[in-house]
Amino acid sequence: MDVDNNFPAAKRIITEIQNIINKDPKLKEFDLIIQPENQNKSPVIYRDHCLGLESWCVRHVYKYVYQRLITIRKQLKRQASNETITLLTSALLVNPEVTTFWNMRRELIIDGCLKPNDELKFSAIVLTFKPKCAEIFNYRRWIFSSISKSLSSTDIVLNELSVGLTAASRYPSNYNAWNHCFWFVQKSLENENFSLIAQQWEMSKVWCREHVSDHSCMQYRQRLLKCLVADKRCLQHLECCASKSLLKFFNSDERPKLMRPSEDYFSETIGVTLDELYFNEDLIVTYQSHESLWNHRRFLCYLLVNIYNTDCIKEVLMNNEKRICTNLLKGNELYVKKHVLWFQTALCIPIKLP
Amino acid sequence: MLQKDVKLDKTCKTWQLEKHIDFLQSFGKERHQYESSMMEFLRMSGMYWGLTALYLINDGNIPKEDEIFEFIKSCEHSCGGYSPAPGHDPHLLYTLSAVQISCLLNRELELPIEKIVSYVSKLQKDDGSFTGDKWGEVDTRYSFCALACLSLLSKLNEIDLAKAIDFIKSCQNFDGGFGSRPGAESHGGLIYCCVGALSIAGRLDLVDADTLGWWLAERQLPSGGLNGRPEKLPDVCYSWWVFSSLNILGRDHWIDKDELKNFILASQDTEGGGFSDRPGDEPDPFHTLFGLAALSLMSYDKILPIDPTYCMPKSVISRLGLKPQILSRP
Repeated sequence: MDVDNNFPAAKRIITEIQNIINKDPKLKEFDLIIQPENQNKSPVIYRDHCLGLESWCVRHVYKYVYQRLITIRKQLKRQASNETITLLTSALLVNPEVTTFWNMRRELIIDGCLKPNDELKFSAIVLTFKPKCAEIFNYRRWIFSSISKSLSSTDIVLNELSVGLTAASRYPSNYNAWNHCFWFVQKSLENENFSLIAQQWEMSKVWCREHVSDHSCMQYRQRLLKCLVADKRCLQHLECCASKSLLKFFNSDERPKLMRPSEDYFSETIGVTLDELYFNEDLIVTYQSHESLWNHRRFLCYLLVNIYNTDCIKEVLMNNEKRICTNLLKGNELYVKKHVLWFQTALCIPIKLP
Repeated sequence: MLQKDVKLDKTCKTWQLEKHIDFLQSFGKERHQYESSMMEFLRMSGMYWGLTALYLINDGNIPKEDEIFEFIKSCEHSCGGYSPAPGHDPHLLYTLSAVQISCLLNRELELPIEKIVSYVSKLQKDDGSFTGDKWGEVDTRYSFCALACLSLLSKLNEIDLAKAIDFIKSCQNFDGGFGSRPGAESHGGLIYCCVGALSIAGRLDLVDADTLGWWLAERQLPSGGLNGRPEKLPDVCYSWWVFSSLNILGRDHWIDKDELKNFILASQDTEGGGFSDRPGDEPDPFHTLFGLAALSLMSYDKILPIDPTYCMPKSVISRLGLKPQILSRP
């Protein structure tokens, strides 16, 4: 191939990148560095465990690695050479959406030429550059599900959740990152690790407070909440202040109507849902007109009505939402109006504003 | 109001039909080699976007049909799947694109249909879901790919359709929307995939059309553009995913079409032709197809009518004898 001659430095550059990845187990970030001109020095920048590549060379490097890799792939037999790994590393750092290149790494793992742990580190670095890239998350889940990596270890799961959270912080409403996190929550539940839900419930509360327009994080909480109300074993790990919310929501006449004896769990699950409803109210009061917050509120009301389908709760909820809508009308006109309309159509509960 | 949105220029952009035709005909030709190698990993879909768009605005004329079909053949794999370009791995996404392009060329009967059917049906899992390739990632978009692909080849009976539908239903949320997997957040693009798949299967009875229609209509922002999820920016591609879903559900009148039209037209590149995700950005064939397709649903200018389920020209869908389900207006 003539690409070698067009840009002879490519081979040296990708080798330098591979060496840094091999030698620094603490490498944490990759990014392109805007530099339109060749500076007559190496375009690979490496400082404080961060790796950068100057932008002027990217097209040349990518053209070289892409054409080499496609040539290798067309030979249709597995090439377990160091050259292939080096080519793949640079190709995926620059363009991580190429499924075929991740597949080549999958085969190299199966053949024992790449170690799953090193691959988790490498793909986490790629994720810092493209935090919403689905192919990177897919690759990580594939490593966990096929290379019999034990998911019963809480440390491994917590590490993976923190990788997901980092990606979520780098790109708002990161669909793939939150799905990735929940995949591990589900796996943990399958392994009867119930305490993780409580840990994630607390963590995501803090996160939501700091990202009030991130609907994906709130939806992640919806999934956690559904687990909490569905399974007592999840709920028991929660430090519950639910009784306070219960007292606040129901007056003394209403409470006995709701509580059936022998159903302590019932009051706990409704308590945790009410906790979230009050948390949501705090955020709506503090941060005006955020669609995410109002949509999350719809879910909470829907859950209350559908799980605890009693006339009592409908009436209390109606009064509660009337209070919220009346107090918040100013500054939230659009969302209050939509909330009232939604209550009427979706839950058949009328809210009459004064 | 803190709404995330874009602000449109007051002056309306004029419709650039000739420039769009030029853009689509020349795309890829004079591009830098770097850009084409960066995008080659999705070339088969890129061709579907570009050719369908051109078909819609060029009276059904597509140049170099033999060359295109040769390209499709060069991406065929022994397993029956198609890759985005030679040297890449086969995947359901590009298998659907290959079938769609072949239908556009009226050459679908020349495809190795039995092998394609075998490839697609082997990707179905016990719970009815589909993986995108042999590596096992499940997503509702692959359910759509499988159902669309097989129905275009009149082979829908070759998979477990009942289970496929059960899986899609399990991805339905309280807001009426659908996500990529059970429990996942409702998402404009994935709603199109699920509603489209149910339309192909004739099972739109499983959709809560009012609740979902409400959620979809809420995607319209003051600029007239549609977003794909709450508090995201409007994007021309959601003019298709969201608006075609509303069409399938018979609720297209729940959004303001003039404002949507205005937003799409504002996203044209008036110099070189083509559409971008939102006004001012670089145009590409992906957003060009979905902008034109949405305009077609609104019977704009002389754009040929598009089928809201398949995102293919209506004439092609009727030639194949397909009648995807559409709900009537309430």
